[in-house]
Amino acid sequence: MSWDWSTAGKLTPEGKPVIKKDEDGHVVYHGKKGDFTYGANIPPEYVWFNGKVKYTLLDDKINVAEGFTPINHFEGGPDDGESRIWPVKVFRGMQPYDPVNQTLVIPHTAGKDDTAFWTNFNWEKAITSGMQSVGAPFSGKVDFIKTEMMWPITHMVAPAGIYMPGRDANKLLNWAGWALALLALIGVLIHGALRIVTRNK
Amino acid sequence: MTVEKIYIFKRFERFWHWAQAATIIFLMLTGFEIHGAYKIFGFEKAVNLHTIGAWTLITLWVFAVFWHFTTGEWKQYIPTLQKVDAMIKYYAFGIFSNAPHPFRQTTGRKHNPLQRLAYLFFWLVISPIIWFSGWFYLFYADWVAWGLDGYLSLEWVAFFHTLGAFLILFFFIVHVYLTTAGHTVTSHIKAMITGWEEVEKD
Repeated sequence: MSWDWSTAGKLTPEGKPVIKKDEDGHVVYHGKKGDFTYGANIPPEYVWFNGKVKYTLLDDKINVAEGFTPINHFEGGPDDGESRIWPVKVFRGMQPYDPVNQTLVIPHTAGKDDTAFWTNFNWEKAITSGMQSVGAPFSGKVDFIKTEMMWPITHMVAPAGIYMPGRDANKLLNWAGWALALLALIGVLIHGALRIVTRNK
Repeated sequence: MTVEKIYIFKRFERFWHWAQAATIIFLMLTGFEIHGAYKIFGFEKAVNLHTIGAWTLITLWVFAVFWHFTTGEWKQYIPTLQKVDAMIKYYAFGIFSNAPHPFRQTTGRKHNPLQRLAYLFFWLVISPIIWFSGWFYLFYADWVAWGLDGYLSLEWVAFFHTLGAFLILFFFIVHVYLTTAGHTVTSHIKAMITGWEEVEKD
């Protein structure tokens, strides 16, 4: 569940992007994109969420000292009376930024021209043309920062019971409880039927 | 053998019984919906109604406990093993051959020995389980402030509340059935409504 752009650019001696796959056939490294990691059956992370998401925009200053840059941030907390606990997938990345202007950048990735990263594998050229396309300033220097992005999950979260330590006991109790009630019902019905059958004795 | 009518259940007692019956049935209905057994009110509404029902029953019980102690009626629940075997024998065999009921109801002994044990079990075992687990549920947000968060887990509170609920369901089924096991099929139910019970007299 991560994507590291900083390792992109490795080429074979023939000049083609290097591609590595894991045993399941998933791409774990691609010369155009960098390193990937995957996960399955992962418990989500939980955050307080009031429905508002704050995004880090192109002209927002990045605080490198923070350790990572939030691409987005779910607002809310336990005390505002409106937030809910929300399951999220946290996607962790490593991506280019401008260390002089301290901003995120727009790289020009695909295209058959001499600035596209996937054609030339040159970050400075790709970001210069990408930033030019929106009229944003770029110092010409490129470095990489860790980023995190939260994805709200509205499906594929396993039932809460799955991770409960008391789950088995509660499952057993549910079964035993209904069995007890059913036996009581059957018992009194049989007893009542017998009383009706023998009522003239 | 003749039939005699005696006054067993006083007016407050009858009010208490039927109000409690309605509240407990309502709590079972909403409670087992919260448990996930079916859908009637929707989860959130069921929780709110269940909470209202619980406080209603608590209020009723405050009055009932007061009544029991001021009238001395609590003594009716002092357990005895005398004639328990005769009661069990009666329900297992005698009731089918029209044998006489081994227990003679009086105003001072309105419960047969099996009832005494069953109701005492209800008061001393089932009630504490359901109330304490229910209060822990209601005041979940205060566990930390009360220093209980290290000792309690929601899973086990849920376990005991559900255990209490199933015991009440079991009690309810058997209790309702045994109301038909009086002198006649309806004599116990009539007594709980009018206060007057028909008892057999030699």
